[in-house]
Amino acid sequence: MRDFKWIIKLFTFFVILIAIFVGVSNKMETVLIENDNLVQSRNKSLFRILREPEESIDMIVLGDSLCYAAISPMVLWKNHGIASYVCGQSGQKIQETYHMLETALETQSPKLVVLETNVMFGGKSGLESLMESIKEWRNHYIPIFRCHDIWKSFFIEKQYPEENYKGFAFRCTVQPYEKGEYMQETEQREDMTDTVISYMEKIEELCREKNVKLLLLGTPSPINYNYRRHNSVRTYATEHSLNYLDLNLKLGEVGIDWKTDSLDKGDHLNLSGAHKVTNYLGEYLKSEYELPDHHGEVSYTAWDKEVEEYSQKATENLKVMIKK
Amino acid sequence: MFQSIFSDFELQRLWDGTFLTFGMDKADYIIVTVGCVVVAFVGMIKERELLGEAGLRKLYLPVRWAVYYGLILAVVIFGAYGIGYQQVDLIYAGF
Repeated sequence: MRDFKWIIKLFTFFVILIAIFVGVSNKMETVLIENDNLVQSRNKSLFRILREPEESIDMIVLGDSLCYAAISPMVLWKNHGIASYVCGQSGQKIQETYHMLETALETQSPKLVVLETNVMFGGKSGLESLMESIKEWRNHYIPIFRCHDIWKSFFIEKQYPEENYKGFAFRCTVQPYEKGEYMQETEQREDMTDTVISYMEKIEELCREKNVKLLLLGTPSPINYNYRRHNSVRTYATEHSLNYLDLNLKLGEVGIDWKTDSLDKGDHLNLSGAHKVTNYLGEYLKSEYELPDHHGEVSYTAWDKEVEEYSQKATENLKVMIKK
Repeated sequence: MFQSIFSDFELQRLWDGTFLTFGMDKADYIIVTVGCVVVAFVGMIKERELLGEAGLRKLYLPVRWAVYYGLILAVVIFGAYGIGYQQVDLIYAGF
């Protein structure tokens, strides 16, 4: 009997503890959604996407830094009236990709999810990846662990303001890539870890459940892509009946010039590269998917204002970049 | 290098902001200081047996649990882990 009482006590203790965690987490999240200056750069999209009006976004982009260096939602809006949001994070892990999608789907019902394929080749394997998975699960469901450093903002007013256009920011440095052709044809493949495959399947499952189409996209990056990776993704896409667009094989059509479009010697694209990729992607999306054109709709007037400011700054930035 | 420990000693470095360039900001130093004070305080209480032999266990249960929850929350919130503390930030500096 004494043992039983002890167990009940322990159980109660943990129930109250979890309740406290959830309560504090919710409070923190509300504060961070309201003021994203308190959110560190890497996690901004996690909170900013929740600020978008419900059911207003038709396309979500997921992936690591390659995705937010290559896709500019403002350009997609300007060209085609597509309402998209880039939910990228630097070095996003596949577990984070999945939870980011879960977060986005809380308030949005997109028609298309674009997944930048570089996340399929990251991450650890074995026990370490299991730890990562648990950690990201914890961060997602008990956000106090993710947001805990918010106390600094109240203590010393530490803030992280940043320019942000639906997940995209101007990156205007030009450091050419000069090592030449990087997509040499081969039959070899680069293996993906089991964790990546299992999370990819979870992402697919989630998309199926919510009736969202999934597109795998490789954005131009000589440092991160090669034909072995292309083969792996192509095989995966075929096996799972997914669309796959690898722009590394379409550099000519996209119009990438490595002298002007690389930010850091072939790792990420800069503003000029991003515009080329987004222009190309927009045409592709228009022909392959039925994404609505929201131009002129009253509920999207804020987009028109934002794009005006964006275009003006983009033009100025591009002028300066060309001079360099 | 070893020699410089003794020769290049400048007292003003203790307050001219040099300490803030080591990767810890003001808030971190405050927390470390508060932590030290708490540890010293607990040490004093234990040494003088101010709470008796049973320590916290003899406190009224809600009070005792409140103390536990407070301490757990303090560790979770003020702990140096996750974004802002990890090495990954350095690798992706600028992104």
